[in-house]
Amino acid sequence: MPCEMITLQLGQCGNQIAFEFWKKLCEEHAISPEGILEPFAQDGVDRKDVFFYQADDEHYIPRAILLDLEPRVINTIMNSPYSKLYNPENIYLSKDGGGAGNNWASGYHQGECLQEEIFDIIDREADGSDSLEGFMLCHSISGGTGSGVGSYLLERLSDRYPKKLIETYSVFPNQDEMSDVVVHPYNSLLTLKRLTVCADCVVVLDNTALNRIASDRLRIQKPSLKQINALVSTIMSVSTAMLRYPSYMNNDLIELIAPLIPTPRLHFLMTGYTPLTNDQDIASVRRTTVFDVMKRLLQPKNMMVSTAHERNSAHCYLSILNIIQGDVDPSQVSNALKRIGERKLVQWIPWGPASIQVVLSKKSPYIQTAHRVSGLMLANNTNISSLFQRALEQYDKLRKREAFLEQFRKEAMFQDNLDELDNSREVVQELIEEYHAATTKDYCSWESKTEN
Amino acid sequence: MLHEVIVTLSGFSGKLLNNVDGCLELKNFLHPAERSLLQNILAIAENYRFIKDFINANHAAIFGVSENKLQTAPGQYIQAFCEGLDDVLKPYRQEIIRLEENILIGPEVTLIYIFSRVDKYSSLFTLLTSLLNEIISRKIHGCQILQLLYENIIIAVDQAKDCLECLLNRCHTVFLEQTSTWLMNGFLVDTFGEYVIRKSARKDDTNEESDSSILSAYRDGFSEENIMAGGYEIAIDFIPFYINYSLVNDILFVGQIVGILNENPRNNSDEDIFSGNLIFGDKEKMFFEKFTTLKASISTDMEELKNVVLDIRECVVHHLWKVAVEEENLYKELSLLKNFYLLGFGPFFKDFLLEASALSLHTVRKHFSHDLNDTLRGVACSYPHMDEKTLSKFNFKIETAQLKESSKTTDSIWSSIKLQYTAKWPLNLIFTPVAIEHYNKLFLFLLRIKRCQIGIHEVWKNDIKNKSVRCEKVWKLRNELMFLINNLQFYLQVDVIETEYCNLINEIHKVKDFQQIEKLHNIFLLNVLSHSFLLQVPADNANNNAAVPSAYPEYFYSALLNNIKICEKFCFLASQGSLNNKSKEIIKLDKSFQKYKTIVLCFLSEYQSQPFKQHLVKLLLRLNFNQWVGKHLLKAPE
Repeated sequence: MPCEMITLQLGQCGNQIAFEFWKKLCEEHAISPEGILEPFAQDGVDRKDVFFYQADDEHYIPRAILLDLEPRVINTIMNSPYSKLYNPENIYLSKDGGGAGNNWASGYHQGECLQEEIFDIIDREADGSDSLEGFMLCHSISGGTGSGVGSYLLERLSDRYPKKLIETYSVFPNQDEMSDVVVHPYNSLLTLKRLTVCADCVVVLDNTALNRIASDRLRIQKPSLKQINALVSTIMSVSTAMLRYPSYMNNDLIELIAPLIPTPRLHFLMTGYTPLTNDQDIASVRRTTVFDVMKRLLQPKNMMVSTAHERNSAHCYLSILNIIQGDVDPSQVSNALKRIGERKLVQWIPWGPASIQVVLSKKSPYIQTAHRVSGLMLANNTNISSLFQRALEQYDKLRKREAFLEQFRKEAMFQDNLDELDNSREVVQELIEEYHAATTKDYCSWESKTEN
Repeated sequence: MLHEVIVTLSGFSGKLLNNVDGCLELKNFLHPAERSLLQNILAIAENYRFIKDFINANHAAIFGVSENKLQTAPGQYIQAFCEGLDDVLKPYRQEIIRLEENILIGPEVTLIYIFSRVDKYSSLFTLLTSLLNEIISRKIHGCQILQLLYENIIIAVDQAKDCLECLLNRCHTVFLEQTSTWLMNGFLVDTFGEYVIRKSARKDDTNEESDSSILSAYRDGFSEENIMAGGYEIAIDFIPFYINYSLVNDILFVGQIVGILNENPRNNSDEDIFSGNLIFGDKEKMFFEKFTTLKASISTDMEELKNVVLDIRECVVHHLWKVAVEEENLYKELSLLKNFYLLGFGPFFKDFLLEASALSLHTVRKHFSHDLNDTLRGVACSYPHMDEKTLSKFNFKIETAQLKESSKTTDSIWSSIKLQYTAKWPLNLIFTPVAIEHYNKLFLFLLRIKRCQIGIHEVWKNDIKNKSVRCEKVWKLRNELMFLINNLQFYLQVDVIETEYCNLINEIHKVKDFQQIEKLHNIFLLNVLSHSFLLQVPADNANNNAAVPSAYPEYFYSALLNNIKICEKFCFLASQGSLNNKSKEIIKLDKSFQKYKTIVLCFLSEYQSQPFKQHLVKLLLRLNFNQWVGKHLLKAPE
């Protein structure tokens, strides 16, 4: 029984990163852009059926649903060599093609209108799997489609599939440059509420950090979208590697994320990856060991989430999962853990047991890498709240000026009042507070003030 | 009279002898001194006759049983012994012939002359007679004769020593003969049960009780292979002192292997009819020559034999290694065992547990193993690399004996499961029933932990899906339990199994000797078992005693087991409905969990500094990585 994952890719950004993800997956499983398994990979022991299924002619089809309100990105995909990979029935383009105008409310409303058609596709995919484990949502939180339709779908999915896990790969906007979406603080806040209340695990992909890593670590002057997406697809593919290359443990989503998420709302994960190298940059290949990789993963500069340094609170890790790939002697794991423990490199929560869990994952045999060992970190750190804090501040700035609200008022949801915005703010505020509470000893007896 | 004496001396009872005790006619003719002289001569003759009778009785014995009281159990050794005796007596017979000639030439030969001629045999005959009596009375048989002779050689002198050595050589040749057939062909030519190695009596299995399950046929096949591998044993009381036990052990090993190699069906193809060639190659001739030289040399020096045995052994183990590694794919088989018994196929067994959990509650006992096998095969369908050939090696069986004792709860069914594995020859010499037993121990333990994990993940999923409900007490306990189970699993899978397995494979790569592989594999299993704490027996009374001395390993293990039990209870409770309104039970569980957790951590921190306890450091590291349980708590309770 494969624990199937259905991927929902929404909006421009969601489709772009998912496209890169599928490209990577095809490469790792030796599936050609047309979905044909390469002859040299016929007897692989990997589990392709988690993310793919086979058509009658045996070619592999991703369990993916592509959805956008405007045709540009999907058209690019359909004009690429991978056009034949997807099930054409699973590609949904809004008929008017007008997009959501970067407006959450518009996206949410359109999602509501389109829900029947969308859920026809989702239900069909769900019915087609033996033991559906959950959904994987790729979107950005600041635009219109990914955030708005995404929010609506998150709500419906948790109603309709209450037993299925919902994992999202959510792209957070770049703070370093001026966004062309002026209302992105509104969009982000409204989406964050759904991510808090409806999603079970959110892998935060912070564009700010990704851009910084690309320019600082990879020394790319002006990182292109493609280069950023390459980083994202690496994170996505490694974080799903355990599901696709089974070994003794952590082989389905629940085993992977349950130890990371101790309480329902604290489910926002940071990622880190090392070693990062540019394709052209062979000189930067280093000698890698397990300890080396694990140590690097703990360095803030390798973290793919830009967190502010808050002086007055002692942020700490709730949990860490390191997925180590490559040629590793298992006895090194314990030694590396010991050395990291001795150096006290990690600040942990004071209210419960926590540790770095290290899983050794197989690598795709079809891809050659220069590095012996590489690692991805999935971490639950209270410091992620600074990201939400920043979103909140930006929202407050706009809201105080009542800026750009007329766009929202056009939609039914906001016609009478702006309660939804206020409510979302409350939820996010509460989330930040809970993260702060988690840094203290008595988190277990902490109760939200705003609740009830 | 002299003629009569000669006749008697050559072993025939004449009148003279018959009356020797009674009133001798001769006494009138003979001087008393001569009379006692005659007595002495007759005593020699008597001994000779006894020896001769013994030879006659036993030499023919191989061909049939007579009613002679001198006869011992028939055998090649006794026959060789008799032939040797006959040789030893040859000089004596010639002496008698010469004596007779002398008498014929000159009838004035005196008794004293006769006595002087035969007296030198007197001590030898006495010795031989006593040997023979010992053989008869102690029913000395086969290789024991070697021992008897050897014992006597040590204390014998001169002529007697030479004779005994001659006898020993005779018998030793038989031993060499048997050894060479055994070593070169692998079968025992030992009709009379005389050799140092014997076929072990087929044990009547304790689990012979009729088991109508489909597995019985399979089991029979299994035990027959068993006999093939271990059907011979050393007959300890047959080993003479001058042969080293370890040498016999080597002989046993080599012969068994060769025997199996010869019986091995793979060799049945035409070109391999002389399968001996297959094992020894060009060396076969050389070994035979060596044995011939050994037999020819009149020494019982074991060094030579030892060298030959070791040479053959090396040849055989190398051949076996080749068969095991190259033909039977040892590495693949090892990883298969790891993937099955040690849950290397994690998702596969998770699926299996999920499927099987539906079975275990309400199934008829008899068909349960059948159902389990069906489930296993059903689950395998979604794993393309799990082919029928692989699966056919594994089979579930229920230990019915255990089931009867305990109540029919789910847990008891789970703990009485056995996963059986059919190893192809010669791998079954490595994966012996004992090794499989050990694997099963690990399998059940790992499966139990996996079941806990599945249960606790289910609880987690319910929690995580109800974002509006806060229930800190449940969360806290669930978190701690999940942490324990998770890290215990990581410890077992990575720190113990993967690490040891990696070592094993590295070591095996270095050797080209089958026996070494066997040894390495045993070490691997023992290490994994002991590092998984499965070699310890849990203390029974640990349940009622709160202030247990935490320093004892068995208390540690039982505390660990208790924590697993608490986890099972917790999951069971959760399966009965929401945990949020069961705070009483949760508090109780939490209390006992904290107690046992402290015992576990105390023990670990106390014992970690000891030598050979490196694995405890690793477990402690995982269980208390964030130093959450303070140092003050880790002092053993008084």
